[in-house]
Amino acid sequence: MYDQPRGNDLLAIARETLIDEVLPALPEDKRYAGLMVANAMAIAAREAELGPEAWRVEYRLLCGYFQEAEEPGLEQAALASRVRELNARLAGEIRAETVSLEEGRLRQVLDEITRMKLRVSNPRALKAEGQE
Amino acid sequence: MTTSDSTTSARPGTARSVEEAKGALECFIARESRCRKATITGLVRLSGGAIQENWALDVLIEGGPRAGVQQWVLRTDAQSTVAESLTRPQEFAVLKAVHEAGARVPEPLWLCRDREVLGKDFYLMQRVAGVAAGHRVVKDPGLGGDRVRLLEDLGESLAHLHSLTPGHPGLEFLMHPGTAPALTCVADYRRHLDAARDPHPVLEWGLAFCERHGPAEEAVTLIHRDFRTGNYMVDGEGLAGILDWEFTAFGDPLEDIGWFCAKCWCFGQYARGAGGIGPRGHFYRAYERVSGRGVDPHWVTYWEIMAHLRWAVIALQQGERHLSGEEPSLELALTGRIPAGLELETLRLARLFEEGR
Repeated sequence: MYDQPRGNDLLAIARETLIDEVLPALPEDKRYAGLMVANAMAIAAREAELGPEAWRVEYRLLCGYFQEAEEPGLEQAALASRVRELNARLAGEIRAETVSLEEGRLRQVLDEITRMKLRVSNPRALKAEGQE
Repeated sequence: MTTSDSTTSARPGTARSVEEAKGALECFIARESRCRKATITGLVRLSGGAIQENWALDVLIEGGPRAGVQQWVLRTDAQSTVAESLTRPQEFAVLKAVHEAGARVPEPLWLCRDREVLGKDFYLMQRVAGVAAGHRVVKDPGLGGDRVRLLEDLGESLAHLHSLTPGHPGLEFLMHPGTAPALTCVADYRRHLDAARDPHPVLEWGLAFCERHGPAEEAVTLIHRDFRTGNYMVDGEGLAGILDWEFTAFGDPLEDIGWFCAKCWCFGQYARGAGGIGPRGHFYRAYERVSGRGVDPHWVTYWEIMAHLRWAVIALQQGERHLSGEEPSLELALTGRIPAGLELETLRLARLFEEGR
């Protein structure tokens, strides 16, 4: 077992140091690169925290939509592969319009999956939603 | 100079750096500006532009109609190119046409296709001073002068650009979308999705929605296809010039309006629906006054959906450039994570469009 702190702790304190101590000392032409590094670290940290559960939720939503039974206890790689397959099937059916675009259930699944992705990629977009 | 020259001095006909070509460039300028002598006194590569190189050029012109100190930009190809963007000679032709039509753009000066000069095509245009960076333009009220006037200027310039129609002399090379530009966009973006690494059901849904609800009739004019905050220059007074003409094509003029107003190009200033600058009304009215075409907000919403779908497929492509190892870059990598936010907005705008019917 590794000694503590763990990776997520290290990432959090590294980002804090970057923002508080490194960014203010950067020349103006490197500031954007510094901000991008901080942003990438934040996404990676959220993905480490929320990612594994997000895959399972997406799998559950897609199985629910196709009314298929979930296979229990899938390993991460198998889970990712199944989610990909189901997404490809859904994308194909939407393009072929073998599903109804207006169907509420479809729109709800798409909406929920999108929100879940945003909790990792860009939570601010969820806050900004509907701001006109 | 001979073609067998293998030292650092460049050979005619092969690409060389702009600095190396200074002498040849001065001869070209002297010839085109019909002056006694042209001396390049300043030469700095401008930042940005992975696909094009832009150089700020200060030139002392002695004699002739342009005598004096001139501030110009030299624009040429960089190493990497994007298949869908215009070539420099095509871009020069577009710039000339829209300048003549009255859009506020840097005045195009001369195109050079003589490979003896730089080893590749380039053109010169007037340098407009100011700031383009979107996040600065929306936040700093000292930039761009009066905001209402800025929106009106943008609307008027866009209307001038949209006054050019297929068949315009000199623009025969431009893509023409046929009679249904919206459906052409749908087909085009689907091709992009087919090339993507992962399936994207929400983007597929958005494209199917646009296909199902497309406009019955569309105008076809010259369109900029990247007309947004960040792609025009402002100074303390107002609009200095519209930039970045490499994606210009023929299409539905509402595509430009939807792109300009799309939330993804408001740089966080969502309450200012016209490009993060101010209310849409000023922009719409100025556009309507000059173009004589009405702007129906319902169909702007439609083209905003299309704008988010387009930006999403472009973001996927940019992310792929990093993922494939072709061009490892943090900026491209982060761009690959942008689509989720665009998908959320696509779903929201679709509801708005349905409510407006």
